[in-house]
Amino acid sequence: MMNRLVPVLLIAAAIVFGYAPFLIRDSPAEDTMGVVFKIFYFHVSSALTMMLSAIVCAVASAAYLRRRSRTADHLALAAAELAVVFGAIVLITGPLWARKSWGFWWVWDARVTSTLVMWMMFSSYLLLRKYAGVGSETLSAAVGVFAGVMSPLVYKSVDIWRTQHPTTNVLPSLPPGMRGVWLWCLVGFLMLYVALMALRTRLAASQAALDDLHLALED
Amino acid sequence: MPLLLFALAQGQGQFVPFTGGGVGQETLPATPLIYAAYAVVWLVLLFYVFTLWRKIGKVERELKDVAARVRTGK
Repeated sequence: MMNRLVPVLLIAAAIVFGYAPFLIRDSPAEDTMGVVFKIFYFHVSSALTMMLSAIVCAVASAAYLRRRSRTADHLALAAAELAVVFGAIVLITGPLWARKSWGFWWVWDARVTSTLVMWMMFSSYLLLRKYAGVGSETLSAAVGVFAGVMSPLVYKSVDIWRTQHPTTNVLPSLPPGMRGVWLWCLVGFLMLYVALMALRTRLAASQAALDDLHLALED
Repeated sequence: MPLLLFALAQGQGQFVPFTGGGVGQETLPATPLIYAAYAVVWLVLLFYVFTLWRKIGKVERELKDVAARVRTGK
């Protein structure tokens, strides 16, 4: 069923992404930040997708550690890779927004730093999978649990500590002219995320099946 | 004074739509930064989808090939 849903989700996401720039162009500028605020629509959507992927990875990694389920391992790997992809978008678009609204590219505040640390943890997960050899699934699952647990902390960091970054209050208090555009972009990111998760999980399962067949051929 | 700086450093708690004039007179132009940000989003996602598609094709072709070899015992 998921195989049939993936093209539909990809096409729907392409339509949403294709129309988003027109909605963003017509949306209002922000009072303090001006026009550069419009980076918000893709920056925040990709940040929330990254956090969702981090939680999926943590849950799947914990399931793998408990039951040694291969499906859980494939899900965790897919989620970790997508956390790195969406995290890269967040970490590049953030400084572009900051350069104009704060006056500098980077600031070592709680939100920015914790996001970077979480992204580095998921990158470590992928490096472990690639280079740690036999047993890397278990090692990386442990990293996945800790990296994913950081996600709620990254989200709440702006409320716990005083930071330069806008607080979580900006999302529920968005005016209608901004909220609709942001929800449009968020839906696009989530549809793309589900489609990419399905594709990446399928790749992980195929790779595992291929490894099994190579072993069978050697025997 | 340090207390004042500390208070000023607090993040924004609400976004307010801009209604006045003069957005176009900003000193550092925002448009190139916005275009750069959206270009990054599109490029990263398109590159990832493309590489994922290629990898799936390659692995599944190899899988069929090896499965056929296992069946014939070669």
